[in-house]
Amino acid sequence: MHPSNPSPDRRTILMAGAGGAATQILPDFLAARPHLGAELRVGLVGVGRQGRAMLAELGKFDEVTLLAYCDTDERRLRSASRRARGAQGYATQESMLAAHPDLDALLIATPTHLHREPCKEGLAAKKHIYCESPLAHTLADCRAITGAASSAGKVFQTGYQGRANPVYALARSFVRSGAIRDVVSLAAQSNQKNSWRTPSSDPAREKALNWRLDPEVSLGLPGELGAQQFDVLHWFTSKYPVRVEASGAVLAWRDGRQVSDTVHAKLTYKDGSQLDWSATLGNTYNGTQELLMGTMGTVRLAWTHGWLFKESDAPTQGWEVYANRQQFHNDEGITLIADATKLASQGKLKKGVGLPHPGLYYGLESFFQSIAKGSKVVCSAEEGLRATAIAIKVQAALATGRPQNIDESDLTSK
Amino acid sequence: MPLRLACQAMGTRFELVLTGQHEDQLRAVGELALEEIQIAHRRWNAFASDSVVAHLARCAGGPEVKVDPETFELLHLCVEVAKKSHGFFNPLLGPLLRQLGLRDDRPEETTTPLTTLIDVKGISLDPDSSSVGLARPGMELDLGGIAKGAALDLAARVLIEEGVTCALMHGGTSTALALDPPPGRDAWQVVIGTGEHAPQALLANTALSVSAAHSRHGSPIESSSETGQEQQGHDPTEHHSRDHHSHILDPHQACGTRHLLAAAVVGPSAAACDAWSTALVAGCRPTHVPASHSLLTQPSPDSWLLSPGRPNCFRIEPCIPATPPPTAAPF
Repeated sequence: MHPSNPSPDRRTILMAGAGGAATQILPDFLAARPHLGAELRVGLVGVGRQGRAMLAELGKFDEVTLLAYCDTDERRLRSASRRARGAQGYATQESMLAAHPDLDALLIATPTHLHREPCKEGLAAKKHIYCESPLAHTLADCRAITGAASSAGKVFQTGYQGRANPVYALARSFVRSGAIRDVVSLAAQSNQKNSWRTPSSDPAREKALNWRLDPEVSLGLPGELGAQQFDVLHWFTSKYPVRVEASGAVLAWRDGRQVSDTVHAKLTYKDGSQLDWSATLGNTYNGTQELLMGTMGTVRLAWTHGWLFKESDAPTQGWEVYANRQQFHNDEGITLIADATKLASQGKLKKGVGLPHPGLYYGLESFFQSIAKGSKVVCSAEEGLRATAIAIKVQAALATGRPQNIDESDLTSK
Repeated sequence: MPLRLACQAMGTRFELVLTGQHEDQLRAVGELALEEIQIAHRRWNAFASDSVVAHLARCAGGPEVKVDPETFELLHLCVEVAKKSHGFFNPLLGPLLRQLGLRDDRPEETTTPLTTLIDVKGISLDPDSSSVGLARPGMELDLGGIAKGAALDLAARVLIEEGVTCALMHGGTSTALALDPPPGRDAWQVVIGTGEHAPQALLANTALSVSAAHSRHGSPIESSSETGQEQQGHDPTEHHSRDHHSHILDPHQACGTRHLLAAAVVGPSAAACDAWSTALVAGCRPTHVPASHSLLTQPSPDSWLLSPGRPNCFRIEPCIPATPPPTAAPF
């Protein structure tokens, strides 16, 4: 068992399931409102797709006030104005900071290749920073950001959301306590059906708005979809690949684009184990999920849900009698339920199936908790750099058609 | 050539028909609108544990929950229509649906009487904090069709913001929203039901919702269509009624309604149209529906009635003069 990751309290689950004292206190992750214990004023940099998602989640925090937001696109500013009641919109981060020197924190949701300057400017202005993932599009930019973050003395969180996800935290505790024993294979996929185009009625704005399809700056599917998953698997296993291979093509959207809409990658670890990762913009089957297959079981993760599939010869634990189960063709999965002990004690175990909020919510909540209560940042700039560096290597393998070796030095901020 | 895009959400299929010159641009805007529908699904789907309404149900009986502005607006509309319809529209019918065997999930164990659990007065709305509360444990929102309508309203807003002006959208074919009609036409023609004399709704920058009392499998609201004409029909993927129960409930009688066979409402908001068409079939009097809405009701299989004194967005052949329906509501 990993010393810093104690096993889930299975005995408590067993006792509760057998008729332990009931309480009406809901688990923390189901609580109506998060309690930060401090009023925070935040500004949002970039109100495109991800910025809009942030706006929706920010509205759930009683003690967090969005004072201002900025974007270089006028139409997006107009759109944000109706979603961000009471907040002021600005065309630049500079003007926003000048008008609101009292901001405690900035949320950076600009295009990936435009993270560096907003992060540095925000840190220079002594703001706490939540920077969306991937951290940047080049290792040089990642290092510039981590350098600025380390010397600023402010909270800096990279937006790799798996680390803040209660279901993932529970699954990780199972994996690290040996529930699936030796990991023999890793797999992850991110499937969606979407052209990845951003509307632009102004040809002059086309290139800027469709940066994900610009091979000069885009990390493609490995960066924009894969990096989150690479980080999850690194977090679970504490392993980083030493070599990556990738191939891809434009198969779904033959509109002249150069950025592959379908990608397969193989990431090889030092012990010989591998992660098979694939992503496509042409099919939604099974969506986004990660698999960790071990000699005694498999953990399947799907962001708001998670399951444990046991091998037949895996030892049976007493708490399994009370577990919630779900059938997938020939396999039966035990639903991973965060705070199962509390729920079981109330006879409400099924209420905990699936999370009540999207992953982004938990990422933001943990960031605000770090500012307000000084709790440890779930994904530092340095951790963010490592997952991003892997994505950069996968994209390089894809772009060049040649395998890429990953050295320790590629994963450090120096 | 119109561009069609679709997605699955809220247990049904949403479809967009967009017209314009640049397909790549249209597709990009359409995908943004579909994203909006998916976001609405994640918030308002009572069957998904990570939805806002599921969270509100879990927190029922506790403190109010802060919600996003769009959810707040939708719940505000729910309460408003519930009041104006004298309770014939009710967004809290989940426990009743379960009691009637129309929902598969197990009921929450509670000693609270059913009438209290479905009392709309138990919904509290605080506009200052954008917070919503359900007064008692066991209360839960089941937004049903109004959520589909609201999703279409939000999707339309995205289309307009992004400069797409000519479009027709529907959610599960029971609720539709039209922007400008196709070139050369005055309106999008939407056929309601089947048969030679099936009525048509003429939509231009308006929404339509059709509710039917009987089982979806026997729905009369189907038709064929061609470019510029869309269908209203049953959606086999939706949760449907069983046995003799209507899939629309009369909240006052706590059972399936027998007031009208169907009702169609045209108005500016798809969410409001959906709420009002449901209320009408449940037993609400047409006079309680805001005068800006166009109403068409079906009291018997062979007759459709236009409500007088309102804008007429329907074409019926042969035209039937409006008379009070034979099974008028008790108000």
